[in-house]
Amino acid sequence: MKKSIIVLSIILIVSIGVVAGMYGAGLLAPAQKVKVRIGYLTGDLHHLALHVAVAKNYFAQYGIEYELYEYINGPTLMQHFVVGELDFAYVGTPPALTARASGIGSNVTSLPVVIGSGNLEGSALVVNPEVIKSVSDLNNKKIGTPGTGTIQDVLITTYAKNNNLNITKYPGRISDLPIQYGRGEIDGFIGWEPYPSIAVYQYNASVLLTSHDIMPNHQCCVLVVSDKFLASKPDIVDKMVAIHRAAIDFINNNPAEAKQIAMNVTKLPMPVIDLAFSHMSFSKSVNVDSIKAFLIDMIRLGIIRNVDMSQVDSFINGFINTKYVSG
Amino acid sequence: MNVVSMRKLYSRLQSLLFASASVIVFFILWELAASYLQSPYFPDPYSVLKAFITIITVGDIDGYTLAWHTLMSLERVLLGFAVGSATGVPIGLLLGIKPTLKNAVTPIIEPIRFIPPIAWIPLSIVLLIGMYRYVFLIWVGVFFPVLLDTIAGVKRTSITLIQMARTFGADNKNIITKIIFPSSLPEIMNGLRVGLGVGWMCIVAAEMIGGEPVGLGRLILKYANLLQIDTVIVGMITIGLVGLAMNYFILFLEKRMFRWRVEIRA
Repeated sequence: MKKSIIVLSIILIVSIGVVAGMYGAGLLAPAQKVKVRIGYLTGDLHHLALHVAVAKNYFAQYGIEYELYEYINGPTLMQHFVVGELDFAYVGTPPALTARASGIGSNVTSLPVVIGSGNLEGSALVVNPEVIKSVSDLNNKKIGTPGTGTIQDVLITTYAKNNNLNITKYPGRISDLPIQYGRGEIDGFIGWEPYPSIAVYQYNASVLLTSHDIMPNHQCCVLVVSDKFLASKPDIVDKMVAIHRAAIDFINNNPAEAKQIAMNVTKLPMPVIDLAFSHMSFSKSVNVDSIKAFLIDMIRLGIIRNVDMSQVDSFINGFINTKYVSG
Repeated sequence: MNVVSMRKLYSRLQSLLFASASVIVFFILWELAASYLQSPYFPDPYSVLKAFITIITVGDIDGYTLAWHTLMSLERVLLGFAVGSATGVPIGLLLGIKPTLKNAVTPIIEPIRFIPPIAWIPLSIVLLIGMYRYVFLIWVGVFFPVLLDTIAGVKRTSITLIQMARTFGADNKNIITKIIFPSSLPEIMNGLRVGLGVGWMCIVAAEMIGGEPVGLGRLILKYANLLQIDTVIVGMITIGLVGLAMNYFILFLEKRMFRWRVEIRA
Protein backbone atom coordinates (compact mmCIF):
# COMPACT_ATOMS: atom_id res chain seq x y z
CA MET A 1 0.00 0.00 0.00
CA LYS A 2 2.74 2.37 1.08
CA LYS A 3 4.81 1.45 -2.02
CA SER A 4 1.96 2.12 -4.40
CA ILE A 5 1.38 5.56 -2.85
CA ILE A 6 5.06 6.41 -3.33
CA VAL A 7 5.00 5.19 -6.96
CA LEU A 8 1.79 7.11 -7.67
CA SER A 9 3.27 10.26 -6.10
CA ILE A 10 6.40 9.99 -8.23
CA ILE A 11 4.30 9.50 -11.40
CA LEU A 12 2.16 12.50 -10.47
CA ILE A 13 5.17 14.74 -9.78
CA VAL A 14 6.92 13.68 -13.00
CA SER A 15 3.72 14.23 -15.02
CA ILE A 16 3.26 17.72 -13.57
CA GLY A 17 6.92 18.47 -14.35
CA VAL A 18 6.60 17.24 -17.96
CA VAL A 19 3.40 19.22 -18.57
CA ALA A 20 4.88 22.35 -16.98
CA GLY A 21 8.05 21.97 -19.05
CA MET A 22 6.10 21.53 -22.30
CA TYR A 23 3.94 24.54 -21.47
CA GLY A 24 7.01 26.58 -20.62
CA ALA A 25 8.60 25.61 -23.91
CA GLY A 26 5.47 26.76 -25.72
CA LEU A 27 4.54 23.27 -26.96
CA LEU A 28 1.12 23.27 -25.34
CA ALA A 29 0.34 26.96 -25.71
CA PRO A 30 -1.94 28.08 -28.50
CA ALA A 31 -0.19 29.61 -31.54
CA GLN A 32 0.58 33.20 -30.53
CA LYS A 33 0.74 36.32 -32.62
CA VAL A 34 4.11 38.00 -32.86
CA LYS A 35 4.37 40.84 -30.39
CA VAL A 36 6.61 43.64 -31.64
CA ARG A 37 8.50 45.88 -29.27
CA ILE A 38 8.47 49.54 -30.32
CA GLY A 39 10.57 52.30 -28.76
CA TYR A 40 9.75 55.99 -28.90
CA LEU A 41 10.66 59.22 -27.11
CA THR A 42 8.98 61.06 -24.26
CA GLY A 43 6.36 63.52 -25.50
CA ASP A 44 7.91 63.72 -28.96
CA LEU A 45 5.42 64.98 -31.53
CA HIS A 46 7.75 63.72 -34.27
CA HIS A 47 6.46 60.28 -33.36
CA LEU A 48 2.86 61.26 -33.94
CA ALA A 49 2.50 58.50 -36.55
CA LEU A 50 2.91 55.95 -33.78
CA HIS A 51 0.32 57.64 -31.57
CA VAL A 52 -2.09 57.93 -34.50
CA ALA A 53 -1.61 54.23 -35.30
CA VAL A 54 -2.43 53.39 -31.68
CA ALA A 55 -5.40 55.78 -31.49
CA LYS A 56 -6.87 54.62 -34.80
CA ASN A 57 -6.31 50.95 -33.96
CA TYR A 58 -4.15 50.31 -37.05
CA PHE A 59 -2.09 47.66 -35.30
CA ALA A 60 -5.14 45.49 -34.61
CA GLN A 61 -6.35 46.00 -38.16
CA TYR A 62 -3.08 44.55 -39.44
CA GLY A 63 -3.05 41.78 -36.83
CA ILE A 64 0.02 43.11 -35.01
CA GLU A 65 0.40 42.94 -31.25
CA TYR A 66 2.76 45.50 -29.79
CA GLU A 67 4.43 46.76 -26.65
CA LEU A 68 5.54 50.38 -26.35
CA TYR A 69 8.70 51.48 -24.56
CA GLU A 70 9.35 55.15 -23.79
CA TYR A 71 12.83 56.72 -23.51
CA ILE A 72 14.12 60.15 -22.57
CA ASN A 73 16.14 60.67 -25.75
CA GLY A 74 17.28 58.94 -28.91
CA PRO A 75 20.75 57.86 -27.73
CA THR A 76 19.25 56.22 -24.62
CA LEU A 77 16.69 54.44 -26.77
CA MET A 78 19.44 53.22 -29.08
CA GLN A 79 21.43 51.78 -26.16
CA HIS A 80 18.47 49.47 -25.55
CA PHE A 81 17.95 48.85 -29.27
CA VAL A 82 21.45 47.57 -30.07
CA VAL A 83 21.31 44.97 -27.31
CA GLY A 84 18.12 43.54 -28.79
CA GLU A 85 15.50 44.90 -26.40
CA LEU A 86 13.50 46.51 -29.21
CA ASP A 87 12.39 45.45 -32.68
CA PHE A 88 11.29 48.83 -34.04
CA ALA A 89 11.90 52.41 -32.96
CA TYR A 90 10.90 55.93 -33.77
CA VAL A 91 14.12 57.86 -33.29
CA GLY A 92 16.15 60.80 -34.57
CA THR A 93 18.49 60.15 -37.48
CA PRO A 94 21.80 60.90 -35.64
CA PRO A 95 21.24 58.44 -32.76
CA ALA A 96 20.32 55.76 -35.30
CA LEU A 97 23.47 56.57 -37.31
CA THR A 98 25.60 56.41 -34.15
CA ALA A 99 24.10 53.08 -33.17
CA ARG A 100 24.63 51.51 -36.59
CA ALA A 101 28.20 52.84 -36.77
CA SER A 102 28.97 51.53 -33.27
CA GLY A 103 28.27 47.94 -34.26
CA ILE A 104 29.27 47.90 -37.89
CA GLY A 105 31.65 45.05 -38.73
CA SER A 106 30.97 43.32 -35.39
CA ASN A 107 28.77 40.44 -34.31
CA VAL A 108 25.99 42.78 -33.12
CA THR A 109 22.79 41.75 -34.91
CA SER A 110 20.37 44.38 -33.66
CA LEU A 111 21.56 47.37 -35.62
CA PRO A 112 18.99 49.84 -36.93
CA VAL A 113 17.85 50.00 -40.56
CA VAL A 114 15.63 52.85 -41.78
CA ILE A 115 12.26 51.66 -43.11
CA GLY A 116 10.21 54.85 -42.83
CA SER A 117 10.35 58.61 -42.46
CA GLY A 118 8.94 59.97 -39.22
CA ASN A 119 9.12 63.66 -40.00
CA LEU A 120 11.22 66.37 -41.57
CA GLU A 121 12.60 69.32 -39.55
CA GLY A 122 10.63 69.81 -36.31
CA SER A 123 13.19 71.22 -33.86
CA ALA A 124 13.68 74.80 -32.72
CA LEU A 125 16.16 76.88 -30.77
CA VAL A 126 14.24 79.05 -28.32
CA VAL A 127 15.94 81.83 -26.38
CA ASN A 128 15.36 84.63 -23.95
CA PRO A 129 14.55 87.51 -26.33
CA GLU A 130 15.89 90.07 -23.88
CA VAL A 131 19.33 88.46 -23.80
CA ILE A 132 19.64 86.99 -27.29
CA LYS A 133 18.33 89.11 -30.12
CA SER A 134 20.38 87.73 -32.98
CA VAL A 135 22.52 84.73 -33.82
CA SER A 136 25.73 86.56 -32.87
CA ASP A 137 24.33 87.00 -29.33
CA LEU A 138 24.58 83.22 -28.88
CA ASN A 139 28.29 83.66 -28.22
CA ASN A 140 29.25 82.59 -24.70
CA LYS A 141 25.69 81.65 -23.82
CA LYS A 142 24.37 78.55 -22.08
CA ILE A 143 22.21 76.54 -24.45
CA GLY A 144 20.37 73.44 -23.32
CA THR A 145 20.19 70.32 -25.46
CA PRO A 146 18.32 67.04 -24.91
CA GLY A 147 21.61 65.15 -24.65
CA THR A 148 24.87 64.47 -26.44
CA GLY A 149 24.34 62.71 -29.75
CA THR A 150 20.71 63.78 -30.21
CA ILE A 151 19.72 65.40 -33.50
CA GLN A 152 19.37 68.75 -31.73
CA ASP A 153 22.85 68.42 -30.22
CA VAL A 154 24.34 67.64 -33.63
CA LEU A 155 22.43 70.52 -35.28
CA ILE A 156 23.49 73.16 -32.74
CA THR A 157 27.09 71.92 -32.51
CA THR A 158 27.48 71.98 -36.29
CA TYR A 159 25.76 75.36 -36.54
CA ALA A 160 28.01 76.86 -33.86
CA LYS A 161 31.11 75.46 -35.54
CA ASN A 162 30.10 76.72 -38.99
CA ASN A 163 29.35 80.19 -37.61
CA ASN A 164 32.34 80.46 -35.24
CA LEU A 165 30.09 80.68 -32.20
CA ASN A 166 31.29 79.66 -28.76
CA ILE A 167 28.32 78.24 -26.89
CA THR A 168 28.25 76.15 -23.72
CA LYS A 169 25.90 73.22 -24.15
CA TYR A 170 23.85 72.18 -21.13
CA PRO A 171 22.61 68.65 -21.75
CA GLY A 172 19.48 67.71 -19.81
CA ARG A 173 16.24 65.80 -19.94
CA ILE A 174 13.96 67.28 -22.59
CA SER A 175 11.12 67.72 -20.10
CA ASP A 176 13.44 69.66 -17.75
CA LEU A 177 14.72 72.08 -20.40
CA PRO A 178 11.69 74.45 -20.39
CA ILE A 179 11.83 74.45 -16.55
CA GLN A 180 15.56 75.23 -16.52
CA TYR A 181 14.96 77.94 -19.10
CA GLY A 182 12.10 79.41 -17.07
CA ARG A 183 14.33 79.52 -13.98
CA GLY A 184 17.09 81.32 -15.87
CA GLU A 185 19.61 78.49 -15.58
CA ILE A 186 20.08 78.46 -19.33
CA ASP A 187 19.75 81.25 -21.89
CA GLY A 188 17.88 79.06 -24.34
CA PHE A 189 17.56 75.51 -25.56
CA ILE A 190 17.17 73.47 -28.69
CA GLY A 191 14.69 70.63 -28.52
CA TRP A 192 12.12 68.60 -30.34
CA GLU A 193 8.56 69.79 -30.55
CA PRO A 194 6.48 70.47 -28.52
CA TYR A 195 9.10 71.50 -25.92
CA PRO A 196 10.28 74.70 -27.70
CA SER A 197 6.63 75.66 -28.15
CA ILE A 198 6.00 75.02 -24.44
CA ALA A 199 8.80 77.49 -23.63
CA VAL A 200 7.28 80.04 -25.99
CA TYR A 201 3.80 79.56 -24.58
CA GLN A 202 4.63 79.30 -20.87
CA TYR A 203 7.88 81.23 -20.45
CA ASN A 204 7.72 83.89 -23.18
CA ALA A 205 10.72 82.47 -25.00
CA SER A 206 11.12 83.31 -28.65
CA VAL A 207 12.16 81.12 -31.54
CA LEU A 208 15.59 82.26 -32.73
CA LEU A 209 16.13 79.45 -35.23
CA THR A 210 14.09 76.52 -36.41
CA SER A 211 15.90 73.45 -37.62
CA HIS A 212 14.70 74.49 -41.10
CA ASP A 213 16.98 77.55 -40.76
CA ILE A 214 19.91 75.34 -39.76
CA MET A 215 19.43 72.58 -42.36
CA PRO A 216 16.44 73.10 -44.68
CA ASN A 217 14.17 70.10 -45.20
CA HIS A 218 16.40 67.85 -43.09
CA GLN A 219 15.40 64.34 -42.14
CA CYS A 220 14.53 64.29 -38.47
CA CYS A 221 12.99 61.13 -37.04
CA VAL A 222 12.88 57.81 -38.79
CA LEU A 223 11.23 54.46 -38.23
CA VAL A 224 13.92 51.81 -37.84
CA VAL A 225 13.87 48.04 -37.53
CA SER A 226 16.67 45.82 -36.31
CA ASP A 227 18.72 43.89 -38.89
CA LYS A 228 17.82 40.68 -37.11
CA PHE A 229 14.07 41.28 -37.12
CA LEU A 230 14.13 42.40 -40.74
CA ALA A 231 15.87 39.19 -41.77
CA SER A 232 13.70 36.88 -39.68
CA LYS A 233 10.22 38.41 -40.02
CA PRO A 234 9.98 40.43 -43.25
CA ASP A 235 6.19 39.92 -43.40
CA ILE A 236 5.77 41.72 -40.06
CA VAL A 237 8.06 44.50 -41.26
CA ASP A 238 5.86 44.90 -44.36
CA LYS A 239 2.83 45.32 -42.10
CA MET A 240 4.62 47.77 -39.79
CA VAL A 241 5.62 49.91 -42.77
CA ALA A 242 2.04 49.83 -44.07
CA ILE A 243 0.74 50.91 -40.65
CA HIS A 244 3.30 53.72 -40.45
CA ARG A 245 2.51 55.00 -43.94
CA ALA A 246 -1.22 54.88 -43.24
CA ALA A 247 -0.63 56.94 -40.08
CA ILE A 248 1.45 59.54 -41.96
CA ASP A 249 -1.33 59.80 -44.58
CA PHE A 250 -3.87 60.23 -41.80
CA ILE A 251 -1.87 63.10 -40.24
CA ASN A 252 -1.57 64.91 -43.58
CA ASN A 253 -5.20 64.33 -44.61
CA ASN A 254 -6.76 65.01 -41.19
CA PRO A 255 -4.59 67.63 -39.48
CA ALA A 256 -7.32 68.71 -37.07
CA GLU A 257 -7.90 65.19 -35.79
CA ALA A 258 -4.15 64.52 -35.72
CA LYS A 259 -3.68 67.61 -33.56
CA GLN A 260 -6.41 66.36 -31.25
CA ILE A 261 -4.54 63.04 -30.89
CA ALA A 262 -1.33 65.01 -30.21
CA MET A 263 -3.19 66.98 -27.57
CA ASN A 264 -4.49 63.80 -25.93
CA VAL A 265 -1.00 62.29 -25.86
CA THR A 266 0.87 65.33 -24.57
CA LYS A 267 -1.95 66.86 -22.45
CA LEU A 268 -0.93 70.26 -23.83
CA PRO A 269 -3.28 73.09 -24.87
CA MET A 270 -4.12 73.50 -28.56
CA PRO A 271 -2.14 76.78 -29.04
CA VAL A 272 1.07 74.89 -28.13
CA ILE A 273 0.18 72.03 -30.48
CA ASP A 274 -0.63 74.51 -33.27
CA LEU A 275 2.71 76.27 -32.84
CA ALA A 276 4.57 72.95 -32.71
CA PHE A 277 2.86 71.76 -35.91
CA SER A 278 4.03 74.89 -37.73
CA HIS A 279 7.64 73.69 -37.25
CA MET A 280 7.13 70.09 -38.46
CA SER A 281 6.23 68.26 -41.62
CA PHE A 282 5.28 64.62 -41.96
CA SER A 283 6.58 62.97 -45.09
CA LYS A 284 6.75 59.41 -46.35
CA SER A 285 9.92 60.20 -48.31
CA VAL A 286 13.31 60.10 -46.66
CA ASN A 287 15.73 62.95 -47.33
CA VAL A 288 18.79 60.81 -48.05
CA ASP A 289 21.06 63.79 -48.75
CA SER A 290 20.43 65.23 -45.30
CA ILE A 291 21.12 61.86 -43.67
CA LYS A 292 24.42 61.77 -45.53
CA ALA A 293 25.14 65.34 -44.39
CA PHE A 294 24.44 64.34 -40.78
CA LEU A 295 26.80 61.39 -41.09
CA ILE A 296 29.59 63.59 -42.47
CA ASP A 297 29.06 66.18 -39.71
CA MET A 298 29.09 63.48 -37.05
CA ILE A 299 32.33 62.00 -38.35
CA ARG A 300 33.87 65.50 -38.31
CA LEU A 301 32.65 66.16 -34.77
CA GLY A 302 34.09 62.88 -33.47
CA ILE A 303 30.67 61.49 -32.60
CA ILE A 304 31.17 58.65 -35.07
CA ARG A 305 34.70 57.25 -34.95
CA ASN A 306 34.73 54.01 -36.88
CA VAL A 307 33.39 55.17 -40.25
CA ASP A 308 35.59 57.33 -42.42
CA MET A 309 34.66 59.69 -45.25
CA SER A 310 35.41 57.10 -47.94
CA GLN A 311 32.80 54.77 -46.43
CA VAL A 312 29.95 57.27 -46.27
CA ASP A 313 28.07 56.08 -49.39
CA SER A 314 28.33 52.38 -48.60
CA PHE A 315 27.30 53.06 -44.98
CA ILE A 316 24.22 54.98 -46.09
CA ASN A 317 23.29 52.16 -48.51
CA GLY A 318 23.26 49.73 -45.59
CA PHE A 319 21.47 52.16 -43.30
CA ILE A 320 18.48 52.91 -45.53
CA ASN A 321 16.39 50.03 -46.85
CA THR A 322 15.25 51.13 -50.31
CA LYS A 323 12.56 48.46 -50.47
CA TYR A 324 10.56 50.50 -47.99
CA VAL A 325 11.68 54.10 -48.41
CA SER A 326 12.25 56.30 -51.41
CA GLY A 327 14.50 59.30 -51.45
CA MET B 1 67.12 46.35 11.47
CA ASN B 2 65.64 44.19 14.19
CA VAL B 3 63.51 41.07 13.79
CA VAL B 4 60.22 42.90 14.35
CA SER B 5 61.04 45.46 11.65
CA MET B 6 62.09 42.68 9.28
CA ARG B 7 58.81 40.87 9.87
CA LYS B 8 56.84 44.08 9.24
CA LEU B 9 58.72 44.71 6.01
CA TYR B 10 58.23 41.12 4.88
CA SER B 11 54.52 41.35 5.65
CA ARG B 12 54.19 44.58 3.67
CA LEU B 13 56.08 43.15 0.70
CA GLN B 14 53.88 40.08 0.78
CA SER B 15 50.72 42.23 0.79
CA LEU B 16 52.06 44.29 -2.11
CA LEU B 17 52.87 41.15 -4.06
CA PHE B 18 49.40 39.69 -3.55
CA ALA B 19 47.74 42.99 -4.42
CA SER B 20 49.81 43.30 -7.63
CA ALA B 21 49.07 39.70 -8.57
CA SER B 22 45.31 40.21 -8.13
CA VAL B 23 45.42 43.35 -10.31
CA ILE B 24 47.31 41.45 -13.03
CA VAL B 25 44.85 38.54 -12.85
CA PHE B 26 41.96 41.01 -13.11
CA PHE B 27 43.39 42.54 -16.29
CA ILE B 28 44.08 39.10 -17.80
CA LEU B 29 40.47 38.04 -17.10
CA TRP B 30 39.20 41.31 -18.58
CA GLU B 31 41.29 40.80 -21.72
CA LEU B 32 40.10 37.19 -22.05
CA ALA B 33 36.45 38.22 -21.62
CA ALA B 34 36.85 40.96 -24.26
CA SER B 35 38.51 38.52 -26.70
CA TYR B 36 35.76 35.97 -26.12
CA LEU B 37 32.83 38.39 -26.43
CA GLN B 38 34.22 40.35 -29.40
CA SER B 39 31.62 43.03 -28.71
CA PRO B 40 32.06 46.71 -29.54
CA TYR B 41 30.30 47.34 -26.22
CA PHE B 42 32.87 45.44 -24.15
CA PRO B 43 36.26 47.03 -24.93
CA ASP B 44 39.58 45.45 -23.97
CA PRO B 45 41.95 47.09 -21.45
CA TYR B 46 44.16 48.52 -24.22
CA SER B 47 41.20 50.40 -25.82
CA VAL B 48 40.33 51.82 -22.41
CA LEU B 49 43.94 52.88 -21.88
CA LYS B 50 43.92 54.68 -25.24
CA ALA B 51 40.64 56.40 -24.30
CA PHE B 52 42.20 57.37 -20.95
CA ILE B 53 45.13 59.03 -22.71
CA THR B 54 42.85 60.84 -25.17
CA ILE B 55 40.53 62.18 -22.49
CA ILE B 56 43.48 63.32 -20.35
CA THR B 57 45.43 64.98 -23.14
CA VAL B 58 42.83 66.10 -25.70
CA GLY B 59 39.58 66.13 -23.73
CA ASP B 60 36.10 64.88 -24.58
CA ILE B 61 34.09 65.80 -27.67
CA ASP B 62 33.26 69.16 -26.09
CA GLY B 63 36.88 69.79 -25.13
CA TYR B 64 36.63 69.13 -21.37
CA THR B 65 39.57 67.12 -20.00
CA LEU B 66 39.38 64.33 -17.42
CA ALA B 67 41.01 66.57 -14.82
CA TRP B 68 38.30 69.18 -15.34
CA HIS B 69 35.50 66.60 -15.05
CA THR B 70 37.08 65.20 -11.87
CA LEU B 71 37.66 68.61 -10.27
CA MET B 72 34.08 69.70 -10.92
CA SER B 73 32.68 66.53 -9.35
CA LEU B 74 35.05 66.87 -6.40
CA GLU B 75 34.11 70.50 -5.84
CA ARG B 76 30.41 69.61 -5.74
CA VAL B 77 30.87 66.64 -3.47
CA LEU B 78 33.15 68.45 -1.03
CA LEU B 79 30.75 71.39 -0.75
CA GLY B 80 27.84 69.06 -0.09
CA PHE B 81 29.97 67.06 2.31
CA ALA B 82 30.91 70.21 4.23
CA VAL B 83 27.26 71.22 4.61
CA GLY B 84 26.25 67.64 5.49
CA SER B 85 28.88 67.35 8.20
CA ALA B 86 28.27 70.85 9.55
CA THR B 87 24.61 69.97 10.09
CA GLY B 88 24.87 66.24 10.87
CA VAL B 89 27.39 66.47 13.72
CA PRO B 90 25.73 69.20 15.86
CA ILE B 91 22.23 67.83 15.32
CA GLY B 92 23.51 64.32 16.10
CA LEU B 93 25.13 65.57 19.31
CA LEU B 94 21.94 67.36 20.30
CA LEU B 95 19.73 64.34 19.63
CA GLY B 96 22.20 62.03 21.37
CA ILE B 97 22.27 64.20 24.48
CA LYS B 98 18.51 64.85 24.53
CA PRO B 99 16.75 61.48 24.12
CA THR B 100 13.33 63.12 24.51
CA LEU B 101 14.03 65.35 21.53
CA LYS B 102 15.34 62.36 19.58
CA ASN B 103 12.14 60.43 20.29
CA ALA B 104 10.10 63.42 19.15
CA VAL B 105 11.86 63.77 15.79
CA THR B 106 12.35 60.07 15.06
CA PRO B 107 8.99 59.71 13.25
CA ILE B 108 10.15 62.44 10.84
CA ILE B 109 13.80 61.51 10.44
CA GLU B 110 13.42 57.75 10.09
CA PRO B 111 11.15 57.67 7.00
CA ILE B 112 13.13 60.47 5.31
CA ARG B 113 16.34 58.54 5.93
CA PHE B 114 15.10 55.72 3.72
CA ILE B 115 14.40 57.97 0.72
CA PRO B 116 17.43 57.47 -1.52
CA PRO B 117 19.15 60.69 -2.64
CA ILE B 118 18.35 59.86 -6.27
CA ALA B 119 14.63 60.04 -5.47
CA TRP B 120 15.13 63.71 -4.53
CA ILE B 121 16.44 64.61 -7.98
CA PRO B 122 13.12 65.56 -9.65
CA LEU B 123 12.22 67.80 -6.70
CA SER B 124 15.67 69.37 -6.68
CA ILE B 125 15.41 70.16 -10.40
CA VAL B 126 12.24 72.19 -9.96
CA LEU B 127 13.20 73.81 -6.65
CA LEU B 128 16.93 74.47 -6.85
CA ILE B 129 19.41 75.90 -9.30
CA GLY B 130 22.88 74.76 -10.37
CA MET B 131 25.32 74.16 -7.52
CA TYR B 132 22.60 74.40 -4.85
CA ARG B 133 20.97 71.36 -6.42
CA TYR B 134 24.14 69.30 -6.16
CA VAL B 135 24.91 70.50 -2.64
CA PHE B 136 21.41 69.51 -1.56
CA LEU B 137 21.65 66.03 -3.10
CA ILE B 138 25.05 65.41 -1.53
CA TRP B 139 23.74 66.72 1.77
CA VAL B 140 20.94 64.14 1.69
CA GLY B 141 23.55 61.43 1.18
CA VAL B 142 25.98 62.69 3.84
CA PHE B 143 23.65 63.97 6.56
CA PHE B 144 22.03 60.73 7.72
CA PRO B 145 25.14 58.53 8.15
CA VAL B 146 26.85 61.39 10.01
CA LEU B 147 23.77 62.03 12.16
CA LEU B 148 23.24 58.40 13.11
CA ASP B 149 26.89 57.69 13.85
CA THR B 150 27.13 60.85 15.96
CA ILE B 151 24.09 59.77 17.99
CA ALA B 152 25.66 56.31 18.38
CA GLY B 153 28.94 57.92 19.48
CA VAL B 154 27.16 59.98 22.16
CA LYS B 155 25.38 56.86 23.42
CA ARG B 156 28.67 55.01 23.75
CA THR B 157 30.22 57.68 25.96
CA SER B 158 31.21 56.11 29.28
CA ILE B 159 28.70 57.00 31.95
CA THR B 160 31.47 56.60 34.56
CA LEU B 161 33.44 59.44 32.93
CA ILE B 162 30.39 61.71 32.94
CA GLN B 163 29.58 60.91 36.57
CA MET B 164 33.18 61.46 37.58
CA ALA B 165 33.22 64.85 35.84
CA ARG B 166 30.00 65.83 37.59
CA THR B 167 31.50 64.78 40.96
CA PHE B 168 34.39 67.14 40.29
CA GLY B 169 31.93 69.95 39.53
CA ALA B 170 31.92 70.02 35.72
CA ASP B 171 28.94 71.82 34.17
CA ASN B 172 26.94 70.60 31.13
CA LYS B 173 29.01 72.67 28.70
CA ASN B 174 32.25 71.13 29.97
CA ILE B 175 30.81 67.63 29.92
CA ILE B 176 29.70 68.04 26.28
CA THR B 177 32.87 69.68 24.99
CA LYS B 178 35.44 67.83 27.13
CA ILE B 179 33.90 64.35 27.42
CA ILE B 180 30.98 63.56 25.12
CA PHE B 181 32.30 65.17 21.93
CA PRO B 182 35.87 63.75 22.09
CA SER B 183 34.50 60.36 23.08
CA SER B 184 32.11 60.38 20.07
CA LEU B 185 34.80 61.39 17.58
CA PRO B 186 35.66 57.87 16.34
CA GLU B 187 31.98 57.21 15.50
CA ILE B 188 31.64 60.68 13.98
CA MET B 189 34.69 59.97 11.83
CA ASN B 190 33.16 56.69 10.72
CA GLY B 191 29.95 58.52 9.81
CA LEU B 192 31.94 61.07 7.82
CA ARG B 193 33.72 58.30 5.93
CA VAL B 194 30.46 56.52 5.09
CA GLY B 195 28.79 59.85 4.25
CA LEU B 196 31.58 60.86 1.90
CA GLY B 197 31.26 57.53 0.08
CA VAL B 198 27.51 57.92 -0.25
CA GLY B 199 27.95 61.55 -1.34
CA TRP B 200 30.39 60.50 -4.04
CA MET B 201 27.88 57.99 -5.35
CA CYS B 202 25.13 60.61 -5.29
CA ILE B 203 27.08 63.19 -7.26
CA VAL B 204 27.56 60.80 -10.15
CA ALA B 205 23.84 60.04 -10.34
CA ALA B 206 22.95 63.73 -9.93
CA GLU B 207 25.32 64.78 -12.71
CA MET B 208 23.78 62.26 -15.04
CA ILE B 209 20.41 63.95 -14.68
CA GLY B 210 21.25 67.58 -13.91
CA GLY B 211 22.06 70.03 -16.67
CA GLU B 212 25.74 70.78 -16.08
CA PRO B 213 28.05 69.95 -19.01
CA VAL B 214 31.00 68.88 -16.83
CA GLY B 215 31.47 66.20 -14.17
CA LEU B 216 32.32 62.51 -14.13
CA GLY B 217 28.66 61.45 -14.18
CA ARG B 218 28.09 63.66 -17.21
CA LEU B 219 31.20 62.25 -18.91
CA ILE B 220 29.86 58.72 -18.52
CA LEU B 221 26.41 59.63 -19.80
CA LYS B 222 27.84 61.62 -22.71
CA TYR B 223 29.82 58.66 -23.99
CA ALA B 224 27.08 56.13 -23.20
CA ASN B 225 24.91 58.23 -25.53
CA LEU B 226 27.56 57.89 -28.22
CA LEU B 227 27.96 54.15 -27.50
CA GLN B 228 31.71 54.72 -26.98
CA ILE B 229 32.02 52.40 -24.04
CA ASP B 230 35.82 52.68 -23.69
CA THR B 231 35.41 56.27 -22.46
CA VAL B 232 32.46 55.25 -20.27
CA ILE B 233 34.83 52.83 -18.53
CA VAL B 234 37.41 55.61 -18.18
CA GLY B 235 34.81 57.60 -16.23
CA MET B 236 33.90 54.57 -14.11
CA ILE B 237 37.53 53.80 -13.25
CA THR B 238 38.17 57.45 -12.34
CA ILE B 239 35.16 57.47 -10.03
CA GLY B 240 36.42 54.29 -8.36
CA LEU B 241 39.96 55.62 -7.93
CA VAL B 242 38.87 59.00 -6.55
CA GLY B 243 36.40 57.31 -4.17
CA LEU B 244 39.15 54.95 -3.00
CA ALA B 245 41.57 57.84 -2.48
CA MET B 246 39.02 59.77 -0.42
CA ASN B 247 38.26 56.70 1.68
CA TYR B 248 41.96 56.10 2.37
CA PHE B 249 42.43 59.75 3.24
CA ILE B 250 39.78 59.58 5.96
CA LEU B 251 41.10 56.23 7.19
CA PHE B 252 44.55 57.82 7.42
CA LEU B 253 43.11 60.72 9.43
CA GLU B 254 41.30 58.25 11.68
CA LYS B 255 44.50 56.35 12.35
CA ARG B 256 46.37 59.53 13.15
CA MET B 257 43.67 60.93 15.41
CA PHE B 258 42.67 57.81 17.28
CA ARG B 259 45.82 55.80 17.79
CA TRP B 260 44.47 54.83 21.20
CA ARG B 261 41.56 52.92 19.70
CA VAL B 262 42.13 49.17 19.63
CA GLU B 263 39.99 48.64 16.51
CA ILE B 264 41.97 51.25 14.58
CA ARG B 265 45.34 49.89 15.61
CA ALA B 266 44.16 46.46 14.52
